[in-house]
Amino acid sequence: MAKILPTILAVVLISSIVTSCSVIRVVEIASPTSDCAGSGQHFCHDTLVRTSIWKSKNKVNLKSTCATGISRVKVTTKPMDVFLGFLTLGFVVKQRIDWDCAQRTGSGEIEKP
Amino acid sequence: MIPPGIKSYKPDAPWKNVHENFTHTFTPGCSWLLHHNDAPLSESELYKRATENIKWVIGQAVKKSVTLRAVGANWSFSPVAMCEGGMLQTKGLDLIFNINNTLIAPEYIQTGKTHKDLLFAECGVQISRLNRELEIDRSPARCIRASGGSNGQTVAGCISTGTHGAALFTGAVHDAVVGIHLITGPDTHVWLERASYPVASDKFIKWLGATPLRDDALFNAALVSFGSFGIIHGVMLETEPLFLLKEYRISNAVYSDELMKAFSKLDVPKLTQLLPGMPASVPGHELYHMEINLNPYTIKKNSTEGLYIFLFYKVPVPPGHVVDHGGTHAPAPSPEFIWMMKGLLTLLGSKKSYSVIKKLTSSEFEKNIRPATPEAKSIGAIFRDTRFTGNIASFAFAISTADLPVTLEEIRKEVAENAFAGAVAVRFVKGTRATLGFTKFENTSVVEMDGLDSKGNHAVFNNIIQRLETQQIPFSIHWGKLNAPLNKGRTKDIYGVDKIKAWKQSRVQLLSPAAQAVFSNPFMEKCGLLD
Ligand SMILES: Cc1cc2nc3c(=O)[nH]c(=O)nc-3n(C[C@H](O)[C@H](O)[C@H](O)COP(=O)(O)OP(=O)(O)OC[C@H]3O[C@@H](n4cnc5c(N)ncnc54)[C@H](O)[C@@H]3O)c2cc1C
Repeated sequence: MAKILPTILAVVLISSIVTSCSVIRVVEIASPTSDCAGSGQHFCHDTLVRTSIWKSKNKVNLKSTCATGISRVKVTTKPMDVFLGFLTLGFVVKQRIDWDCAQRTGSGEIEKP
Repeated sequence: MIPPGIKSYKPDAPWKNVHENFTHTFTPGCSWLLHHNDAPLSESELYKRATENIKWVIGQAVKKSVTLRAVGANWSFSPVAMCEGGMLQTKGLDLIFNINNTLIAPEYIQTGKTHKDLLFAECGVQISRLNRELEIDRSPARCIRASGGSNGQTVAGCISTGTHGAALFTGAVHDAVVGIHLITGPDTHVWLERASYPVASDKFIKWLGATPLRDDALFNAALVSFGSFGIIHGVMLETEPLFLLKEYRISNAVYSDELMKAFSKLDVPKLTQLLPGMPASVPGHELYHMEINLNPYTIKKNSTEGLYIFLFYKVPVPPGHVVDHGGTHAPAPSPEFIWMMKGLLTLLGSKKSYSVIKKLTSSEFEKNIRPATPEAKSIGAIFRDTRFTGNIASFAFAISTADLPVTLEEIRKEVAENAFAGAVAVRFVKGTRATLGFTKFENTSVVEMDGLDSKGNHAVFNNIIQRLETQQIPFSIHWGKLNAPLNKGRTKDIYGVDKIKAWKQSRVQLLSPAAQAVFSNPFMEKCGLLD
């Protein structure tokens, strides 16, 4: 075990630095649905936002993109961008927002009643 | 001009399936997304518009001489939904229709069933939406007969690969489908149902505007056809009045020859004798779902270690019961943890990593075993959203339940030699009539091996298939899970020349040569289903 410890540590370190991202938050309803499939772990819709923690209005209106409501949202900040935010004292904050619009609810009639 | 209800779609390049087991690149400018967002139309009109839109996108593929394939939730672990041309995003097609008595065939009513037993769902409806509609929004409440372990798949995606749960006397999800609205070309669409089990009235088929085809062979072939027969636009599903499932978990069963013999014969009275705490199956409390979970490292003959049996009994809904699809999950390994484990195991190589894998797998396995939920719950409340994310592997093959004891021994032998980073489960499923349904044995046992998507695990999947072949144990492989061992020869051995011929002939009967070219993909070619 002592022999493989440095290898484990190296893998952990390299993987965190090179590829991993810090998922800040995933908010979802129970059993979320969506209006299309995203690639891999991405949700159906995404956008990159560049904001500042010093701005008074930091709103992104996702709701207007979903006719039947949002089912889940994921905000991801890459380690490099955390670093950038730190360097610029929070003036430049880059994040990726992924979201899924919910499928409709209820059922319809084939014939007009 | 692109018609309303269709958007040109630009898939990420490379595209990945949800668990990132493969990457794929589509031809730019050939993919589409269908939706119902922009029109003040009735649901009935939206459906009919979507039918025309599907025909339109097929027409575009024919015109450009490119392939096209529907994608559902993108949950398949194999590239079964991928083609070189474009993808058709279908989750925006999410309508559900009630069926009234004028929409069903008189022969259907003669079977004793009514319109209440039926529901017409558009292809992109997710299982979670279906469960909510039936179990919560509908009064009186209803439910689907069978579900996979979770609920994110689309209806059409589910049936197209043969998604199953452990409904041992009921079957897989597609076994509840009794009618298919299939778009077969730029100008053609059909209503498919079994001649032996007509369901839809002429009025319903006239509403669709489709050509009726009442033919058992065509229906059974199209049922599990992974996008090769055109685009399924809607399916008629049979549902049940809501029932609940009461769960029992048995963790002190002895892995003995006698127990395995009882499982292999589905001898429920004998199982009741042998399994401590297994309740009797009686009217009002009937065995419905049965699965075995095992730790391949610790399970051994005549010991209770590493063997867990999960049973669900069908029980009536008690007065005042409120269906709840919410609640929290036990945490699962994070994608980052999975990624790092995979990297670590690759670095160590299979020999050095054996003991690490054994230790980690066993502790993960035990962590994931929880006691049974005391209160009975509905299918929609039990088989909920998945808690697994990241790059995981899932491999599943089916055998006749009669061959279960020897199969489990082969798995045990394999894992004693080669590390497998994951867990093994067996789910019992009633056999299907679908021509290429992989749950093809009268009493099917699906053996699942879920774990890391590592080289070592892939080697184990391959070795197990080879072991089954050496032991001459007939098997089949899940179309929608990892299925690298599938090839032309194996597909022929699994289903037999006659079934493959019947499936191909049905495809030729339903699709023009131009449409056959559109709905072809490398996966079909690999499995010998194109020539
Ligand atoms: C977390 C998870 C859990 C799972 N659990 C289970 C389980 O318990 N049991 C089980 O059996 N499987 C299980 N699977 C596998 C999964 O159920 C199948 O792969 C299923 O086919 C995925 O459905 P989908 O909607 O994502 O379809 P996709 O993967 O997108 O597509 C599957 C196939 O269906 C075709 N298709 C989709 N829509 C249409 C359409 N409208 N018309 C024609 N063809 C269409 C596609 O072309 C493709 O060939 C699981 C997978 C995951 C990721």
